[in-house]
Amino acid sequence: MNTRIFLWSLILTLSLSCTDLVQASEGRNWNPVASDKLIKLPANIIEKRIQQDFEASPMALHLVELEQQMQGKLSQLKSLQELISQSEGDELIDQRFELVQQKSEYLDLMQETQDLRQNALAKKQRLYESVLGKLRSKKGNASRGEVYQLKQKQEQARQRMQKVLAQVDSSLIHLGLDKRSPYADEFALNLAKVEDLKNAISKHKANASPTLGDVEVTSEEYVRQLLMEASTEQSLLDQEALMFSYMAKLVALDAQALEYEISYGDENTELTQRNRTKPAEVADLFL
Amino acid sequence: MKIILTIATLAILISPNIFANSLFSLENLERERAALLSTQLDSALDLNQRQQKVQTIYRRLVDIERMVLRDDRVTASNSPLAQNAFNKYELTFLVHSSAEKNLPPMSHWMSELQLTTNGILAAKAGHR
Repeated sequence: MNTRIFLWSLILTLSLSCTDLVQASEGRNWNPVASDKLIKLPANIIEKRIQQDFEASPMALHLVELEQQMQGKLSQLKSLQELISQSEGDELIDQRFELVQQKSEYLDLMQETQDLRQNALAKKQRLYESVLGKLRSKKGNASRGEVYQLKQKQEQARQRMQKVLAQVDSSLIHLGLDKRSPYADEFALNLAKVEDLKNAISKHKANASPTLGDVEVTSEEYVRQLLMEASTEQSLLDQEALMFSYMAKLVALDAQALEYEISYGDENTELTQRNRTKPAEVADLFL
Repeated sequence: MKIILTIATLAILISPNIFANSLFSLENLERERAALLSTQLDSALDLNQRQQKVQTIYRRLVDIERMVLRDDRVTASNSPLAQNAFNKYELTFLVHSSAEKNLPPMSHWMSELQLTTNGILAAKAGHR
């Protein structure tokens, strides 16, 4: 009787687990924020920082625990399957019952893992979107501001001046001012060194642009690529969820079959007809 | 911790001195340009005196125009003086813009303000 009640509750639980349940994971959360400090990091470091933050979160630690429990369950399932192949009679029924129970527990763990992964991925996606939004608004503000416009004008003026530098210098000589000013002398002397320093800065690895493959990309492009990868991961998780629901359905069917078998016997068992007295057999007594 | 402190110290060293007058070079340029124009228009000077003074100012203007164009503090200030200076390149950077047109700075300044010989000769003195 207890076995039957358990099997029916198992079937019900597994049927429910096929639907999208939102598991409450109190105290096992991960709440990343796209802070200004995060935005200031190079894009490739942003990704590492987010991953590092996730790995240190209670959610990730719980995922590791669940993974270990699932590994333990898997080895139990394998040894049970080996035992079943060598058992028969009531022992076989008991072990099949145990197998269905273990499978159900394994699926519970798998569902919790799946929910946590979906949850983490959704948060990561929102975080990347927020980072991208902030990067875009930072870029927009920088290019819309008056200071930016003024700097653009200064840059244009510099380029314009550069074209007539030699001409102005020769006009000084023409005016009899052939000795260069201290400013011009010092500036020319420093200029080569300034260029060397600028080159060293541009080649410095801490100043390097993020790369995708071997191609240098902007921070915005890099974050867009991260969002793309998150979508790919989402799609694969959805597919895994489908596999999980099929596995749950199979365990539910196994449980149902076992319940029928306990109640009504093996499908090969023939129905036994109770002996009844046929009139023809006793008719002679009345003759 | 030491690294953080070093980075913070470096950041302070790298950042421009916020107490410095960010428009210092531009104000110097304005003064020198005004001095050039007033020297050119000073009728009390004879030709030789004017030429000597103009040469000295011209030399200074060459340097200071370059200084302003290379000075990031001027643009970072976003002051109306800086806005106006870069909006009127022809008048602000008189020496370099006049060189583009192969004109003496004074002629270039007058042509930018549309002050022609004919216009001046046709002008009449009177009250407005």
